[in-house]
Amino acid sequence: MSMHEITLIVNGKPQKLTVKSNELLLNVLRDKLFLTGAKYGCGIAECGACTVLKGDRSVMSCLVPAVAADGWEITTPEGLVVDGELNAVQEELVNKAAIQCGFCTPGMAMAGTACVRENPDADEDFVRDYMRGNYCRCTGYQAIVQAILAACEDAKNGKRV
Amino acid sequence: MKEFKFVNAKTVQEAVDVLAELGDKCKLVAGGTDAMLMIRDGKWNDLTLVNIRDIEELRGIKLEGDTVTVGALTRLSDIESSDILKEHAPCLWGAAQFFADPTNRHSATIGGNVGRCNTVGDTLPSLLCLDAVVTIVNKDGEREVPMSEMLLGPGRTACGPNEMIAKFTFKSQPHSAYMKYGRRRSMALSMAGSAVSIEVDDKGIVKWCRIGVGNAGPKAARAYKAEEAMVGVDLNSDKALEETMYKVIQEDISPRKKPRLSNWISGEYRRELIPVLTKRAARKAAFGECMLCKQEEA
Ligand SMILES: Cc1cc2nc3c(=O)[nH]c(=O)nc-3n(C[C@H](O)[C@H](O)[C@H](O)COP(=O)(O)OP(=O)(O)OC[C@H]3O[C@@H](n4cnc5c(N)ncnc54)[C@H](O)[C@@H]3O)c2cc1C
Ligand code: FES
Ligand code: FES
Repeated sequence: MSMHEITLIVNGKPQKLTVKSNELLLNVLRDKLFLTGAKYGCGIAECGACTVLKGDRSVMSCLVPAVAADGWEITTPEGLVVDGELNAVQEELVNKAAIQCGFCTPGMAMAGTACVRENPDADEDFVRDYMRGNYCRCTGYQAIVQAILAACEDAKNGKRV
Repeated sequence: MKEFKFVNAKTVQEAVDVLAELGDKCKLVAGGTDAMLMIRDGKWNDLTLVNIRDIEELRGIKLEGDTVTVGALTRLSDIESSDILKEHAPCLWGAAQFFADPTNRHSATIGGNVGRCNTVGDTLPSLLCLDAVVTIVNKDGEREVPMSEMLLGPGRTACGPNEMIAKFTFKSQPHSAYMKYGRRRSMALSMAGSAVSIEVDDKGIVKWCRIGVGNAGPKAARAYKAEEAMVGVDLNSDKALEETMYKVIQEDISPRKKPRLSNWISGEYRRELIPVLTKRAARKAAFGECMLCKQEEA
């Protein structure tokens, strides 16, 4: 084991941290910064519950040693909320009742945000394909896909994503 | 999480210096989508991880004349969205579309896919059929290894413990394609895959071709016998392909009549699957699409 000084820019704020070499980014976000939005589901990049953004790109934080993220700009589900307002994807997930138990929802919001930012003209095929690494055991996906498509429209109408 | 030491290498020089010092006591980690699982599963113990994820000089896709270069740290998502590869190496571009899911593709790199040397690795058949050259760096300089000599066995490549893959280079091959068969469309490793680079005349007679197959044996490999058998064959004719390529590609895959069950697929099934995938990849490569596959998919 080795110890490392790192700086993460999380939701716009630089955070200086001392981490062990084997601490995962997900656990550091949750246990040291108390940002519990990202969830631990599988730990092997299969379920998407731990998804965060690096810049505008979605990554699964369960496979990233925190020390490897030194200098990264990271957005967690909390960071999608600005001045108490949800971003378009989060809001549409609520509007379309795309949430049941809610465990997958933060990951869906993150991957959905990456999807809309990458391609606001996405059609249903694109969205389904983009979200294929995010599992939901409750909703049957239909409402989630509809929410992301609605967020694409919102984005084109100037709403923040 | 199991314990390991960690070094953040920010440049190629830093990385090869650590590799030279630690040798087999360390392992490279790029996107980490295989490496972190090796640690989790207890397959790598008491190691130093050398992180190369953010070495920008090893990332990127370039076209110079008719030569394409792909840096080892190029992510699958970069490959997927590359217009250069879509035009000049559609097999590799296509492999990225079939790969895991978009989020994992933002992390997974082509160098890691080759470094892992899993027989199911989706970029391997394409790199084989493109006849890519691998540039490997170490403290003392660089060397080049053709893809056909790169893969030695499960998890073993020609890249030594104190070396690192820097880039892949190959000639533009617009007539190339990859076909993967997975259990489902999403998040499925390949049950078998075949990549073909080909040239046909205006009647569809094969002039030459190169074939790379995945999950056909313990490692991804060229199907040399099938490549030879295809020359002079009418690519439109199922019968001609069955009498030539279908017969010999079995020998390329495995000389055994009853190959072992591996990676979720029985040997018998694989023997049936590979020739069909190869036919489809060849037609897609030569004609832009495989009319027959379209019908079968419908
Ligand atoms: C959920 C999930 C789904 C997946 N789906 C697929 C799939 O559909 N198809 C597929 O092919 N694979 C798949 N994989 C496997 C994996 O994502 C790929 O093999 C990927 O390309 C590995 O790249 P990486 O950058 O993450 O490599 P890492 O995990 O960082 O490294 C992999 C290996 O390569 C070595 N290595 C890395 N970079 C270099 C280098 N520059 N030089 C020499 N050695 C190097 C490492 O030491 C290690 O042994 C999947 C994995 C997960 C977790
Ligand atoms: S916890 Fe990371 S993908 Fe499941
Ligand atoms: S809402 Fe329960 S897993 Fe998706």
